[in-house]
Amino acid sequence: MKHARNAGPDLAFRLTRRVVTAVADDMSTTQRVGAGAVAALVAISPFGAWSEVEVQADPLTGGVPVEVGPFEVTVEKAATADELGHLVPQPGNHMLAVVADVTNTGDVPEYGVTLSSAIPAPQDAGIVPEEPGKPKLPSATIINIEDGTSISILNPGVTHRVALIWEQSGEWSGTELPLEVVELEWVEEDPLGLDDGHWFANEIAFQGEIPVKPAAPEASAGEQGASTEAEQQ
Amino acid sequence: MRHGRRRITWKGTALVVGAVTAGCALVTYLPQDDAVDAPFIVEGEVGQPLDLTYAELTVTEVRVADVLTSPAEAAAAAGTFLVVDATWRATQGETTFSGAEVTDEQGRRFWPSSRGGCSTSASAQPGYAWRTTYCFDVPRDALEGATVRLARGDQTEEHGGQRRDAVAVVDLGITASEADALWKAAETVSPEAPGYPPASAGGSEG
Repeated sequence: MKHARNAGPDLAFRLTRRVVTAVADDMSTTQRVGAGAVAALVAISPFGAWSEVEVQADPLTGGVPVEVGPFEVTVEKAATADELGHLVPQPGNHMLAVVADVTNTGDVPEYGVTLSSAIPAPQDAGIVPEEPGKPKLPSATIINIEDGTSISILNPGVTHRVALIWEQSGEWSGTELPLEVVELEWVEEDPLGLDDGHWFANEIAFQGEIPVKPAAPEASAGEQGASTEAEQQ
Repeated sequence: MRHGRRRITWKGTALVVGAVTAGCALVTYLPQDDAVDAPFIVEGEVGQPLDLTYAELTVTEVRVADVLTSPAEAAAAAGTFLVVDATWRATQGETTFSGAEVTDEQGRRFWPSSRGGCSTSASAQPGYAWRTTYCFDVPRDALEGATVRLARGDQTEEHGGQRRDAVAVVDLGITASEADALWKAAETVSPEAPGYPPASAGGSEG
């Protein structure tokens, strides 16, 4: 006995076959091949046939400069410290600093936040979230290594040695930091907003494992500036 | 009196569509007259008072510094700090002077730093001179022929805040040989806090 619920698919199949047969009967061989190709393309569309091929991120290596948006960035190293200048972590945590040389290669000044968006907080590295219990990680605080002052503007043609700093959980005990550098794309006109002429943080362009040097035992709370730990390592 | 419903005719529709299309085309394709939005540039030199209608401006001194010191912090330059002392005198009302930018001979633009006790803007009451110090971290090749652009409108958004307004462009007077000497000099400068200049500099005058 034929089950009632099978009637639907059978009917649809028979109808489809009759339509296809009726159409194909009037076609030449070339037309049938072309129609078949089109049908195949339509059939695979839902499975990502037209999606852009995912770009493989290039390797990020310590000491090797990379170009990202208006910046040339050379990540030198990563280091942890109990505190960095005025940045003091919660008890049990420590500060994580990524030391990099950054040059604005453009003709106009760029904001420090643009650099922060190019080097987001490392994932799976115990970075303390912006708000407790929420997944969003904070942007880096950018400190000038030489004097410990905050940098908000990067003028063209000068190379700043900076530390990008996040608070890190004391429970993280890795020896290599999974760091990513994001491509910055210039948006001349933003059709979705009023903010024309800005850098947009796009896809990950570079990623690599940067060795982390732990805080030196002699690191003292009174040391001034981010130069402290990063330079001692 | 009977009001009949107006009929939509092909002719009327064509006229409306044509007018809208022509308007869009005019706005899109006709070149916009830059002169309409261009600021009024007032050029000058160091020490020369400039009349910007809303204020009188004098760039009083130009120095360089490797390090800036203030009671709060010391700031080291990545290149060198081009330190520009200026005196504003608002003439119409309380005015905030937001625009400060250095341009070099290559057309590169540099914005001031707030590190080391420097100002990025100034605000002054009318009739009184107000001294302020701007510090720009610039590379060596930006010194020669550099000019400073000061105004009440800010320089972000391609000088959008300075449209149809007076802007001072002051030649800092740095020659090639001076640029070399300035770059090599290791100077530490402590910028004075913004305020009224001494009476000898005209600060007490109303």
